Amino acid sequence: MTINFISKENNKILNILFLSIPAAFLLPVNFSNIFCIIYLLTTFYFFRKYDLNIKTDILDIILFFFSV
Amino acid sequence: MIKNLSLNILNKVSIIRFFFIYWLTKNILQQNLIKIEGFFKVSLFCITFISINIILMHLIGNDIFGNKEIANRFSTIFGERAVAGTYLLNFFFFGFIYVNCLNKKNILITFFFILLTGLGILFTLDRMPFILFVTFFFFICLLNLKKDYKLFIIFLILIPIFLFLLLKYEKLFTRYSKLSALEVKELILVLDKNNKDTQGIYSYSSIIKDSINTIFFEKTLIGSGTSSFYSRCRDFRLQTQKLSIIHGYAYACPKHTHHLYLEILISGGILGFIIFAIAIIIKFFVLTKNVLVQGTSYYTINSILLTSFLVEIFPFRVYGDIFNSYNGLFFFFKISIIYGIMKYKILKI
Repeated sequence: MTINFISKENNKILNILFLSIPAAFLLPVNFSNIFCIIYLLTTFYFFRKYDLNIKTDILDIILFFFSV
Repeated sequence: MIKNLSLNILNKVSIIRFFFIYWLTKNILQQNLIKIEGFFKVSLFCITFISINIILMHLIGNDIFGNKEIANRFSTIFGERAVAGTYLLNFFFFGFIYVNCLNKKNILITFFFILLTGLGILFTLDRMPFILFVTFFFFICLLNLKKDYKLFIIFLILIPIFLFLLLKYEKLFTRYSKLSALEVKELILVLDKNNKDTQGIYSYSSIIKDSINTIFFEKTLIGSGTSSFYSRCRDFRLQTQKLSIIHGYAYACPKHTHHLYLEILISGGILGFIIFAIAIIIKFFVLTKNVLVQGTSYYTINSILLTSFLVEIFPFRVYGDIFNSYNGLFFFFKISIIYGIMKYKILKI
């Protein structure tokens, strides 16, 4: 069994960051927080760079208001 | 005043990052920007690595980094944070998807992976993750009984192994025999005249009682903000003069409720809880629908993801502070990955 991907871009950095998530949790808390910030900034950058829409559904809005 | 305001703003900004993590991760998966297969592989590697380290700690006294047992917990590289069991439990499901569904299915590798993870969680001496691991692995076996009966056989082989270790290994026996009287130890502030720190011992039942008292004490409808349990509980105690003496120690309040839903009720009030519950219920129905409706090729993966989600929202479990950076990241990453994979059918098998 294999997985087919429709990769739009060669997002190596984003891939590496995403793959590092399980390993990032092994780091001390401060490093995990730094990783989290880098991850967020990089993701935002990629969405802007490739002009991708960030889809939002009603649940996202609910969660946003909850977190605020 | 200004310092308090800036701290509050900083706190709010730091909490919103959990939402952004959820939102962006879900979108990354929706738009096929990453290779999720690699994520499963890394999860598998990390789980194996941590499990071997924990087993080594029992066999030779320390792991490969030289970490030793701390306060009757075997947390290997996590040090004083007793989160090794939770970590293994959370990433087990992703590793399991790779071993059982994506890799060339080898029953022996599947068996050894589940055995290793199970032993890893058991030997951390974190009781709740082990109970959840056994319960929800059984749940996966039941869901897949018709399609893959071999998983159930693996479960039947593993149970005697775990039972044998629980009964014969003294450390495990001592730890798990206390299950009926769950206790936690934390450094807490005592509300005595001198207001000095001391060591307090209290049970989960007393924490739950405190939490419920605190919820209905004030700000019941809208809550009092994230991580506010300690201060609210302290106010409650000061006003009602209900200072408890448990096990010979005067005790005030724990730092958090140790329960997901009570934490939500305190921070968001009944209104916040309803909003959160709606979000969780909708997600649960979407995930369940996917298990029932999607084709048989997706069935195993969907059932594993549903189980992983159920572990996270299981109401009868001890939970860390959801708005604490570590637990919050765990929670929001996990639900975003589960939801991202499941809803948009990225996996084409």
